[in-house]
Amino acid sequence: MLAGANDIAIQPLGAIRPELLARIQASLQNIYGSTAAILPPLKIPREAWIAARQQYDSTKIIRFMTRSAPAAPERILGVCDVDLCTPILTFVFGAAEVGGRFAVISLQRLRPEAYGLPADRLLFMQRCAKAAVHELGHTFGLRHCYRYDCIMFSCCSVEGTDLKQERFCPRCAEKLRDARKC
Amino acid sequence: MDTVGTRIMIVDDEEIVRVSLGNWLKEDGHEVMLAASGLEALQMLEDRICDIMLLDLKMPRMSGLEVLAKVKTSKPGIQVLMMTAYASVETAVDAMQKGAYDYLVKPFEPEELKILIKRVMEKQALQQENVALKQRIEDAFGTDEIVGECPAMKTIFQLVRDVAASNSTVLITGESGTGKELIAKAIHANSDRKYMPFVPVSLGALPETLVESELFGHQKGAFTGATYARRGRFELADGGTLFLDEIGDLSPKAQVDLLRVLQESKFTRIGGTREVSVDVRIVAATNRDLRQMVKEGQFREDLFYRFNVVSIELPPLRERGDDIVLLAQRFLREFASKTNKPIKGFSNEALAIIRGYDWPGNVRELENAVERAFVVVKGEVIKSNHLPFNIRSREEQADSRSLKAVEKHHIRRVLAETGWNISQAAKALEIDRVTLYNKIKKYDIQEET
Ligand SMILES: Nc1ncnc2c1ncn2[C@@H]1O[C@H](COP(=O)(O)OP(=O)(O)OP(=O)(O)O)[C@@H](O)[C@H]1O
Ligand SMILES: [Mg+2]
Ligand SMILES: [Zn+2]
Ligand SMILES: [Zn+2]
Repeated sequence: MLAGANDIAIQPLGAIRPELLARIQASLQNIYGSTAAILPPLKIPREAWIAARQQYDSTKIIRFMTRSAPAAPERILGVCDVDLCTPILTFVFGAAEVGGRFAVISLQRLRPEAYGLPADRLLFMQRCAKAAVHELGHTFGLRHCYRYDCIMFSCCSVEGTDLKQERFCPRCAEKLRDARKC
Repeated sequence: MDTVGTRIMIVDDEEIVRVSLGNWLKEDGHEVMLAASGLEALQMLEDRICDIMLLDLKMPRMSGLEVLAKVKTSKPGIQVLMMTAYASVETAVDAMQKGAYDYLVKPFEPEELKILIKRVMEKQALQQENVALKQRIEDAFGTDEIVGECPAMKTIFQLVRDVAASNSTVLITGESGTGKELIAKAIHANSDRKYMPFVPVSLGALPETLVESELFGHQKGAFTGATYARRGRFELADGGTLFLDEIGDLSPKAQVDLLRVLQESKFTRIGGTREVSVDVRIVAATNRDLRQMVKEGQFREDLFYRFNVVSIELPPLRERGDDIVLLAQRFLREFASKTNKPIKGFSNEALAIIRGYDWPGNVRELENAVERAFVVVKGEVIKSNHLPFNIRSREEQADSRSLKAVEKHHIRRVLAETGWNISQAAKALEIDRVTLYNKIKKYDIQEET
């Protein structure tokens, strides 16, 4: 099935486990009420690699997606399993064009193991889904919310992600509705 | 009107820096202006204004220091944050002397930038506008409505409202499942910290070795496997409420650690050197008798008094009278609204059993019992035989001493199970229908409604 207008597409960048993509897909469909097709994976672009920092530049990844994306889907969420940063920030969990078409999330900092804690598959998948919903929220023009339990809350830590709910607060939900009307 | 953020100008000769940083700030709700050179920045400032300028130190033609000097003379209200590569920190310090607000060493932590912007905003009193805006927005999320009509619960609700506004530490005690966490959330939701995090931490569930890391976090590389820094619960709760659950289960060592933070309001992450100070409101809970534990030397007295500033004692469910029934009906409505099952309510007999049971597991046990009954019921009414066995058996045991009583109960149950189909029930009981009718009459067994 080809994704059409008003739809979201998930763009795996590198190998991402199908189970995880399915979890993200389910959340996006549930929250945004549109279909979320999973596109065939693309290789992470070399040009985004910053050797000195052993990380990838999220801005360059989004630029790469802009060049290589299929025309149809209205919004595309890149999913990668490498650590992301920007030239000026030590790391980012993800990035998005505010009111634009593209967003990307990284799975690297979402695993409990990365913090010396025991693995927890369900928690990990839940974090991935939250990251996905959050970044796509930006493409609908939503900014960060001050409510700690809203999905648009900006937390610079994964522990903060765990405090958020996988949904918009009433105010953000309203903004989202307004954004979709036009 | 949407922008609650600040107007921030980024001045940097590198395009990708401007774009990525600009985007990040936009996500955060700020209005962003981009300038590729000092000259462009100064030109933009002729007809537009910004609150904060993020200024690169090293740029061709006009350097950051020159731009800073010009901005500080023509637009002194703009707070300038210098961005510098590691090598030029000395120059950055120089910039501070020339009036820059602060400096950031590239690449910087997102949190660092955020905190700086927040500090500047506070300085410019923009923050106040934000707060005012927040207060205008009604809290529609809320905490779940708490059921309680009995005098004891009414008193507690009043106490919650009174204490919420203050920053006092609150100790909530009560048997397991009485709603301690719910009350803790209500305190948070009624306080002016409500938009900041409510952070629960269950101390009983944590192995002693993990308590410290859970509460205080660790630095990146503090131990094997700690690839990234972890933020502890105290840091997460900054500005909000930290709910320390099951404090009666704290080990002696953890008690000492906790006492220190509570006294000093600061701590260090594991493997870290910098002291972190936080503004948290503490709500603690336990189902154990802390006073007794203090007497027996199992709980530090000084720590007990730290917690026990305001205390709220939740009564067990069995002492809440008709609240039991209200809660049961409330839970049933909740389950029903989540599914399409057309349930009308409880039979009188089922309600009598619910009301009479002593609920050692309190509200949680009641919630589970109602859920179970909801799952097994086929018709529209929940009857006694749908309730979990241990709950109805209690009542049965009470008057089941005689053979007659046992017979009566057995017949009643079979009738309920067959939906009062007399033929089926008689068959199951291996008696004829007339005998069954006679027994129903003799024992005065009535169909539940
Ligand atoms: N008064 C009440 N009204 C509605 N729901 C309640 C009430 N009290 C408790 N509950 C519900 O009962 C359950 C148990 O409550 P809670 O977890 O707050 O109890 P607790 O005292 O913290 O239990 P424990 O000691 O086992 O940790 C929760 O689902 C809660 O929402
Ligand atoms: Mg509890
Ligand atoms: Zn929100
Ligand atoms: Zn964001």
